Amino acid sequence: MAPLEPWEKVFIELRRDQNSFADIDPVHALVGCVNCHGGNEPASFEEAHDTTLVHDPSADPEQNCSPCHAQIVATNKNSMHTMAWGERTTIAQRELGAGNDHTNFDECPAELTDGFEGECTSCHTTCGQCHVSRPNSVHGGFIDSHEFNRIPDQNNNCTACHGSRIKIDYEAGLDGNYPDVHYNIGKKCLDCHTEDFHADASGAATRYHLEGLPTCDDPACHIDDDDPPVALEARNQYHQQHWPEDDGAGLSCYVCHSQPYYNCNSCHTGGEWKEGYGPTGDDINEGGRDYVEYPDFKIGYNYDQALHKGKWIVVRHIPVSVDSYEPWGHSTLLSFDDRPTWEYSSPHNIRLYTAQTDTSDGAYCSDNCHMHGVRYAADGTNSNFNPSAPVPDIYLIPDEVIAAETAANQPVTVTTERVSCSPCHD
Amino acid sequence: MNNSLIRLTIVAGIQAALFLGCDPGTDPVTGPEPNTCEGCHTSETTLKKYAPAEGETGVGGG
Repeated sequence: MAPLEPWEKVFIELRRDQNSFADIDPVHALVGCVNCHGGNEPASFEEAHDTTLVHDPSADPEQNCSPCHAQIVATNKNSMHTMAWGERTTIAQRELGAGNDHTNFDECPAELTDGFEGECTSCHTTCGQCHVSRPNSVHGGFIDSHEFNRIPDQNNNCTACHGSRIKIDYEAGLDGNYPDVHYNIGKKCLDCHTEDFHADASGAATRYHLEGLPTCDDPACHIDDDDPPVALEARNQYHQQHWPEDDGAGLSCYVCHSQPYYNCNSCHTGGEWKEGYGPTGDDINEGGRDYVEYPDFKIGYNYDQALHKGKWIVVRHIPVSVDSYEPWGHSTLLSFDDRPTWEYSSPHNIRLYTAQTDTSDGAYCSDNCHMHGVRYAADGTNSNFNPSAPVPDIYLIPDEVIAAETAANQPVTVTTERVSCSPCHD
Repeated sequence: MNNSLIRLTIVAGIQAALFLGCDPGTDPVTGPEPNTCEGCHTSETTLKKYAPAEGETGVGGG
């Protein structure tokens, strides 16, 4: 997202019939500029912008937001957006070991905790970066002339941060992709994400542990016209065969209904994000700290069946390498092998028909996924077995994993043992 | 009244209607005092004069 011009960032545009900020946001105008932002008025430019000036008063919400929004401030300080609990969990596990989570983050070496506070938390986030301005990651700037928006703006707020992994997915930013079906029918982020963003999430190790996340089988969605209605899991033979279950059977919905998405090989711990995202390397198999972003689609083994349904899931290479935090003075993550670098993913590019479910011209969608081209009939018999057929390239097999990450990804890679294709691979 | 005067009256009338009907722009005729926060931050002209000196420091979240 191109940054605004410096003057645009702080411009309060008075439109027709507006004579002051009070005509834009009468409630917040009552507070007065200097009561939140410091500085002085009336004054010269230098006096107005003296050392007491605060660009983002909501960085101190107890001081500036609590007087009116005390309850929200009290819980939001431990929300997922504020604290990035999931990132704390991943760092804790890769440094301290798999049995740890965000609650152990402070036990990590100081260079990791300090680096995290100095860099990651700088955009995870303040009240104002969702409700007043663009977030810091895109260099800020008022959205609606400093009006406080109760609902954040999808483009200027939500996807300003969640860009390469949500916006590009959702709006078909990758060549060959189609827009998410929910985008096509005009769904905004908050139409589905009705979870409480301000809730205290200190009990959630990752965002996938949050309560109230959207689900594909929400009774309010995907209802059909049958009387009585047929449950989504029984609506067709594909769902009947592959529905994801709590006991580790079936497929994540994304396995069939999502499209390729961006993967990243490392992070921006060198401060690259401050100058805009851009690759610093070009070898996706190198696995070092160079930042590389590339489209791919991979199915992996569900390594956390207590958290995610199904046996097979879509996985994305997340931005980490063993030396990701070298710029912070931490050269190697001591327990890097304790967490996969290909992690569960929920790409926001959902379609009914994808490369996996394409049955046009009489094609069998199973040909895109099943090993050896096997096609199963409803009675359990099979046909089309071809022993020399290659493994479909949508699976994350061990040979495709960056060499230095083989051990880390052992829980997620697709192996003959996990496919358990009897009678040959029992 | 000759034709030129009629045309001039019509043109002037249309221009006046357009002027009144359109957004008068970003610098209101009446507005906040010029030496206040609002006075400067509602003036595109003033911000363009001063904002470059601020540079990338003005990136806060509000």
